[in-house]
Parts: sequence; C-alpha cells; structure tokens
Amino acid sequence: MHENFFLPSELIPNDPEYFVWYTGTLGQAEWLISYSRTLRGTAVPKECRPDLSNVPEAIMPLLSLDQPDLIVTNKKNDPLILIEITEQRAFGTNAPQRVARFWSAVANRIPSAYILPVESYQIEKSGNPLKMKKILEEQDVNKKRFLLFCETLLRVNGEKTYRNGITTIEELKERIRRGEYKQIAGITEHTITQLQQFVKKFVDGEGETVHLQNIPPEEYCHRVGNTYYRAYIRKPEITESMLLEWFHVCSTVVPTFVFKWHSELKYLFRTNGLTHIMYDEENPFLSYRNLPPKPGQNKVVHTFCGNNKDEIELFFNFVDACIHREFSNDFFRKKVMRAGEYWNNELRTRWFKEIEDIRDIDLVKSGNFSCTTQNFFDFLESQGVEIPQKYEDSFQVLEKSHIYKIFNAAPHRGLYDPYSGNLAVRDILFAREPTTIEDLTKFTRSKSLVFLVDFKGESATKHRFIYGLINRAFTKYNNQKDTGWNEQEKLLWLLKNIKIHKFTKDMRCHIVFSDIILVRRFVTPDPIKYEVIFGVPTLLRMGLIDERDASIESMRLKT
Amino acid sequence: MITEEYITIAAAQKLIKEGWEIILVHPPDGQGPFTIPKPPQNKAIERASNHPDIVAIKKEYERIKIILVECKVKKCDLKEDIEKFKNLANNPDQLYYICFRCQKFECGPELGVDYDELSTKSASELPIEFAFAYQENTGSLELPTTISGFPCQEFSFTETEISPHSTTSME
Repeated sequence: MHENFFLPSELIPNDPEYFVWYTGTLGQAEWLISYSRTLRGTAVPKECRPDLSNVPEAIMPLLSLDQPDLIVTNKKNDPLILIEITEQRAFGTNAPQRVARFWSAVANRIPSAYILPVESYQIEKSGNPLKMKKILEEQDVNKKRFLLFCETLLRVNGEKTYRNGITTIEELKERIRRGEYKQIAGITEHTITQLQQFVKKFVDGEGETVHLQNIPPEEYCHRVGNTYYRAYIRKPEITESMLLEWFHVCSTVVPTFVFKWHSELKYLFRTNGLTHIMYDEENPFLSYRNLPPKPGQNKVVHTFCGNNKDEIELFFNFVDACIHREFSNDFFRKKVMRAGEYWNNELRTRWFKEIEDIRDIDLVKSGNFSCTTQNFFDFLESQGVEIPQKYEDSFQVLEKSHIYKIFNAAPHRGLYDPYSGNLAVRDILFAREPTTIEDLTKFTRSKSLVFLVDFKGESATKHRFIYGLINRAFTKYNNQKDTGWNEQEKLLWLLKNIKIHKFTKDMRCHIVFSDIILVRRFVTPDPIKYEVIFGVPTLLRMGLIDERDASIESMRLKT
Repeated sequence: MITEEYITIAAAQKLIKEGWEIILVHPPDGQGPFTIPKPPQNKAIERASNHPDIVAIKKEYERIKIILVECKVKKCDLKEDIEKFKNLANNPDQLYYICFRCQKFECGPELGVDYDELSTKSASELPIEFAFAYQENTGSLELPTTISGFPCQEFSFTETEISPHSTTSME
C-alpha cells in the first residue's frame, strides 16, 4: 500500500529500482520522480523520519552533519545523487547555512545539485522612509520617474545627479555606458565599473546570461499602510560569492553543481518573481503544491556553449546522468558558478580581513579575519588562557589562521543555523588548499580554522555552548560518573565512541570543522571567561582520534 | 491517510472551479514566498510573518477580490487559524500588504488589484475574503461567516473529493 503518495498508480512500480529519500516534502520527491526520464515509473519516495530511525545505514553518512532535501539511491541503497532545493533568496546566510549537507556528499564523492535563486528580487521595508516619501510626493512626473530609476541602481544619488544636470533616464544610462561618472552623484572612478556591469546585465540585458530584468521605476517603491516598501534586485555579493565559489571548488572532486531558479519580473509582487508549477496537465498530481518549475517552463538563461535548455531541464539531465553514473565535470556548469558570470572576482578581497594585530578582531562584533597562528596563540597567552603545549605544537605547521567570529546575546538561541553551514563553507574556502580537498575527512589543513564566539548580555552566563553542550552529551552517552575529565577529554571520548549525527546540531559542525573553538564570556565587571576546545581537524592532526573512531567513521560511506 | 496537503489541493481545485486564479499555495512544512509581515513580536519564537496556505484572486463583476485560505484535516484544529485571520483582519498594514502583493502592474500578470486606488481606501473596504478548508465530519467548531466585516467561507470535503487523482480540467 502506497499511502499518501500523490503519484498515480501507473507511476508507482511494484519492484522499485530507485528510491528517493526525502526529508523535506513529499512533493519535492514526486516532482523529481515525475520529470526524471530514469526515475519516472521506476522510483518511489521514501520519507526519512525526523529521528532518521528508518534511514538505511548505507546512506546515513550523507545525513550525518545535516539533512538534504532529497537523496536518490538504487534499490541496494547505494546513493547516486543528493539534492537540495530552496526558494529562499540566496543572500545573507539563507543559502550557505545548508552547505554542510553538500560537504558530506563531497566527502563521499557523491554528486550533488542545489537549485536556488542565484539572483533574486527582494521586497523589503525601505531603510529611508523619509526619502521615499519625498520621492513619491514629487510633483514633476518625469523627475519622479528619474529619481525612482536612480534608486533601482547601485549607489546613485538621484536628487544630486538631477541637480548636476542629468535629468532623464536615457541620458543617465548613456553616461553610465560611456563611463562618465563625474556628474553621477554617488559614483566614483572605483564604482563606475560596477554600475556599468549592473546596467549591462539588468537594464540592457546584454550578454550570454539572462539576468533579472531591472525593476521598473514605477514599481520600485510603494507605501503600504504606514510603511514604505522597496523592490530591488539582489545579486550575489559576499556570502553568495563564497557559496558559488564553494561549489566551484568542490566540483574539482565530484560534480557539485548549482542550478539557478530563475525569477521573472511578471511575478515580482506575487512570489518575489519565482515561478512554480501551478497546474501541470500531464502531471496533474503535481499541481498546486508550490513546486519548482517543470523542465522547459522557464527562460533559457545561459546561452553560452550553444545551450538551448532552461536550468531545470539541465538539472534533470544532470540527475539522470548521475543515476547512470555518467556525469562529467562540465565546463558549462563551472562557468555558471565561478567568478565572472554572477559575481565579481574583486569580491574575494572582502571575504575576510587580513590583520596584523589580533586585537583588531574586536573592532567589529562579527566577521572573518586572517592572522598568523603565532599572533593568535600570543593573544590567548596574554589573556591568561592556558593551552597545553602539545596542542599548541600541533599548530606549528600552520602559519596562518582563519578566525570566524560571531556574537550572541540571546541565551536560548542555539548556534546551529547558520553557523553549521557557514563553517562548512570556511572549511573549504579558507582552511584548505584546493589540492587538499580530495579527501575532506582527513582535514589536511593549509590554515587553521578558529570559531570564536563572544557571549554578551544574558548569554555570557547562560549560553551552554560549548562546555555545557559537551558535558550534557557526555552525561547522556557515558555511564561513568566522576571521571574527573575536563571538557576536552570528554569530547575525545565522545568522538571515539559516538556517531557524529548523535551530536546535537548546535555543536556538531562546530566540532567537526573548527581547529579551535574559542568562547569568550563577557560578564561585567568580571574578567572575560574563556572556554577552549580543539576540534576534529586538530585532534586528527595530533593523532588523538583517527578514521576508525565512531565519529569519523560515521561520516564515511562504506565502500 | 488524509493529510493537510490533500485538503490544501482540494481547496485549490475548488477555487479554480469557481473562477479563482491561484497566486500561490503554501504546503505544510514547505516553503512559500508569499509572506505577510507581522508587527514586531514579543516572543522570539513566534514567526514574524503569516504564510496563508492559499492565496487566490478573482474578477467578479468588474470587482477584483482576494481570498486567503487556511486548511486543516480536522475542522476542530482550525481554532488557531481563526485567531490568525482575526489578528490579520484587525491589522490594516497587513491587509494593505496583501493587496500590494496582488497588484496589477505594467509587466505583471493580467489579473491584479489596482493598488494605488485601494491604498486610498480605508482598510475595511479592501476586497479581501477568508476561507477555512477541512475534511467533512471531523469535529465541531463554529466557524465565522465574517471576520471583522470581511466575508469568510468554509470548504468541507468528503474523502472522495479529497483524492488527489480526482482532478478535472482546471485551466
């Protein structure tokens, strides 16, 4: 009996050749089965129970750090491809927070695909309502339209530009195309190129990649009740460029591809531009389930290399190829992900800040820094933090350290998302050389990765990360009382004896990816209290744990 | 076993038959792009936005109206949804926001409300309706026929009507 399936009986095989394991919605699994030439009629959906109790051991390593939406297996439960689908706009931490799911696939050389809006329309409250009010109340219709057009561009000050004598949209566009920035207020010789690229991609629609159509001036800003909302194009910036580069780098090991869920201006207000299947005559059971588009429904957005297929069609071609283990690392997909098409190479300089004085990390609440490892240990010493010499010695081979600093003042806010995925991103991009990502679970470091957490306010005394969480896990899994062990020793025991998915999500990836976790508790007026834990990369390097230990073994598929 | 998704799809199909155009469906546990921002919340755990299960639009005698639907398998489980709609109906900013997201504009869909015109009206005049959908004979709960003056319907479905394969021509 196939309870709850929406698939019609003729598409449900008696003896399935494939399974589509899903942790998200049944709809996504049925969408995948219905449009895949290989899976249609040969596969059935299988729900992963929330506690994963029904998931076969054979695929557990792919769910050990985080849970992807879909995993396709053959009937022997050999994993063939891992898939994640999100319609969350890729900005900020929305997309990177899911990266730990892909990390497990790369570590096990299983191809994966991520469907997401690489660039998107965003509708949000205006940060400058007085300015919006003034523009919307402008009586000169042409000037109002000009000012609104300027708002859709990057950094252009419309009012001043108008006063500088550029008074029409066409004139402004022409100046931008010609690179004449001096009368365009807000634009300098350093930013004119970015503005030119924006106009080229989003206003003029030039190039072999179809980007989003710019917001018409009339639709840029609306007063809604007492609030002003603005609509704009969100293109890949710092975190999104890191995400795309992450996929690009990982694709050198195994195809790890991003597919663009394209947005259309037509649906700007209804769905932020995203298209879905509303009604599918051939597959009515997929109708009205908020599913991604069907193959061929969207525009062809990448016309280079002679391509004439839309992204969803290309996605399904990739899925079918992976199922038949015929995938290749194609140039086409790499071009979509690497710098150039969707993000500028200059963004790399903003991924982290190179600092000479470690105290500079305290100039901002959160951020990414690179410094010498010696500088970092000197800093710990200056703060009275005692590090056992053998641990410190294990860092001698690592000249530099990447510090990922975060801040928390909400004691009940666990440090799971987005930090799990963010650490997985940093593990690949900042702590390894591309040549050492072949076997991720060996954690061959080129730089150490430090996860630095500042707890302030109530969190300084109440947040349980990290010692509290280790103690809780140790009490749960180790029956011995009064071992007299410190938290580092308890963690070692846990890593040797407990499968990695048994660690709670609010510390799992942090322990796996960080060479050091450093917690600072600011309890005024007391001195800062420190917690220091050395994570998996350090413990592997020191030989204190190895691949036979339960935690590491549980991350790897049995071959 | 009937799940909420079956009810949601049955409700969408019913709306289509009645001439509504579905703007979006937000499946249980799924993602959905049509979010209606709520006023700042006291409890950090409370969601900062409403995600109606279905939003649809219809032109009727030159008037365009919008309907929001909440679905549950059991009628008796709709209690919280009634409260949700009551709160929404008493919040003018949220009501205007719904119309804003369903507006007609030059490059947009054929069907949409004239938001500029609606934004000059009082919130109580906005063309919004509510509906609740559930499986027949699943508990007793009095559902409102209006919410703060806005019409409110109920859709109940028999088990046969809920079958996902009982699709008819819907476009």
